Amino acid sequence: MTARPSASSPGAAPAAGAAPLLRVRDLTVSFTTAHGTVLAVDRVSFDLASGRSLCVVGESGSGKSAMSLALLGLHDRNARVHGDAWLDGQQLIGVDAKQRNATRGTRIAMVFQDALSALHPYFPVGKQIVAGWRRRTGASRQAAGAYAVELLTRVGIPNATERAKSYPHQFSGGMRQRAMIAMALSGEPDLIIADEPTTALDVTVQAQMLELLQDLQRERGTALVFVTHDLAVVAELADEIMVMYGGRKVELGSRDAIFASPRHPYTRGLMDSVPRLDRPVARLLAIPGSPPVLPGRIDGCPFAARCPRAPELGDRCARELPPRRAGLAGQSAFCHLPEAGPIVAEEAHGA
Amino acid sequence: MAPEPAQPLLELVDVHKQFTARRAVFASGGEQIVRAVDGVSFRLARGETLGLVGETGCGKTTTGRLITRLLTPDSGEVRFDGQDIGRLSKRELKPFRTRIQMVFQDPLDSLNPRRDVGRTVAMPLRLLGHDAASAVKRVEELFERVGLSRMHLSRFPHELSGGQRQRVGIARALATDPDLIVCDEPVSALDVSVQAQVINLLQDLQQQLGLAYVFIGHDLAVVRQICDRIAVMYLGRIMEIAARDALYERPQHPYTQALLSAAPIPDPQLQQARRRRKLTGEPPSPIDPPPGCRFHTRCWKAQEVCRVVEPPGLAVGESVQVACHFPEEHES
Repeated sequence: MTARPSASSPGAAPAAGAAPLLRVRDLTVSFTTAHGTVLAVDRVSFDLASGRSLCVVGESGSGKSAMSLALLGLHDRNARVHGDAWLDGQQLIGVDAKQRNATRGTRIAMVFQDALSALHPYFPVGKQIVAGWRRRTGASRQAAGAYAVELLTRVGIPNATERAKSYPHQFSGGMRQRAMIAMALSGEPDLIIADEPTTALDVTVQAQMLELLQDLQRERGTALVFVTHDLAVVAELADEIMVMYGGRKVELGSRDAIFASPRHPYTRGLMDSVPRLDRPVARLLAIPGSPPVLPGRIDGCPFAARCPRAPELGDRCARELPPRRAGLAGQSAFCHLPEAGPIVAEEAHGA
Repeated sequence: MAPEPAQPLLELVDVHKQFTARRAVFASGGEQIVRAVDGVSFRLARGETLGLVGETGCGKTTTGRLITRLLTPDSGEVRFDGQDIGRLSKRELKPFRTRIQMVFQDPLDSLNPRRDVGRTVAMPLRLLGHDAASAVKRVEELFERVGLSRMHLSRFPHELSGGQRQRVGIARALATDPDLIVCDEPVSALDVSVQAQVINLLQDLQQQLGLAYVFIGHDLAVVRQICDRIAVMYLGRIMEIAARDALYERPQHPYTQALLSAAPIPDPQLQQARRRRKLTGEPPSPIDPPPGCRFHTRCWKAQEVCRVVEPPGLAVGESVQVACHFPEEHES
């Protein structure tokens, strides 16, 4: 934990020669609905280095899932995606299917929350987890079968040779989630994006899953974007944390900085509202209200309406875009409150 | 914690419930028996909260449904206020229905989408013979109590946020002035910031109204926050039942230890420093639970005796109970 290289601390300008694996700038996702334009993701920027894990923390409507789908180009046609995301210098946003297929599966892979709907019910698990790989490589059926067994073994499925022939409904929830991870690994990606992959699982199986992901990171140097609402999972898994609210990034920093000293009132509110396994809490400090469901364009801070501190600043929080304030090593919070830290310039756009 | 009075509000004595599972369409063989609840006993005092925790398929939800008599036990007793309600007919159950209520996990599934929520909450009152005017007055009181305003009365479930919907679910449960509410994962579907509001509300209501709760949950931190005592279930049986802090700080059953150490805590330093007790695999099928102690297939302490002899069931009325041949001994 102490040996974290500071060069990859988020927000800080990347050191020369240490270009991040993933660089996201001003990523914006909007939808047109009957109720007007919904701004699901609003100008989100971050960097992620090889082998590191970024936990994207947020509640419903925070834009955390919309952001991950945008990185893989998985949005429907009704979504408009703007901004830039480069994987090793290769643009991911607004590219055509051919360019996208050059990265999807082989360089970026995704693990979804609901493995039962992400797996095809008609095909044996072994066959479908290597279908993409077989298509790309043109491998023989035998080679694909052997690779499927190898992958299932690697993610800890016992009797992999037999289980590869099973159908998804014959797998338990934990095994299905392992199969999804095996499928993600098939193309040996540099980056795995996992959207709440453990939310539906029992804690015992969740612990196994987190351990598996951490082992894979150590062995292969895979970078991980892990989308979750569970701060306890974040404490276990994250190198870096990005807190999102109402489509915006409200705080970004290393795990230890954010847990030790959360600067944004929303981050602090989240931490105070979580019950603790390790000690009794007399009463939880709940945040009044609920997260915005369909956020529109907001001039000020998206959290202003629920923020206990906003009234201190008049209507500034609701009207003005909050400045970026620096916290501990590379940590930044987007907040009007001076105590969040000194104001620093927004990072330069582009590379 | 309330001292246990002579007569508990609720007492389960060796309750069993089986389901018949049909084999897959093309599979050979006949019906299979799922022993969902397989000899569960516990007591609950007035005003107390008992947590039921365990992995998927451990029987916690079935236990909750047996208490509310949405299911009928195969054997054993469900004593409410001294009377066994396990065998009562629909008609005989009627006076108990008002006293035992339930709050479900997803209020979007448990509220009528085509009825405004004011009428949903008024429904049990009308059934109890309130006239329209007095029902409306009572619903307004209930809404205020759960932190909703009068303007929410005419809303439909889809027009409310998740937290507001769960408040409606709680108001409906309170309408009949119950003594006991079975809460089945009432905050699991809610956002973190809203979850805390609903937990606080449940605690406030308990204090104001002297309610008892059976709280079914899989999030061990939430359960610690709200429960006085906790029963840990595994494959239809209670493995350990203890007062809250005793269970979390001095767990005796290996399964309790494993479950607690699998749940991460939201503090990186503490989380890194914790000693882990890893469980491999998932619970065996309740269709054919292992002989002896049913946890022995995943237990690191298992000896020959565990594979053969089932640990004695929990004696009702002890403060700490553990169904294990080799429970952890803690210095007191």
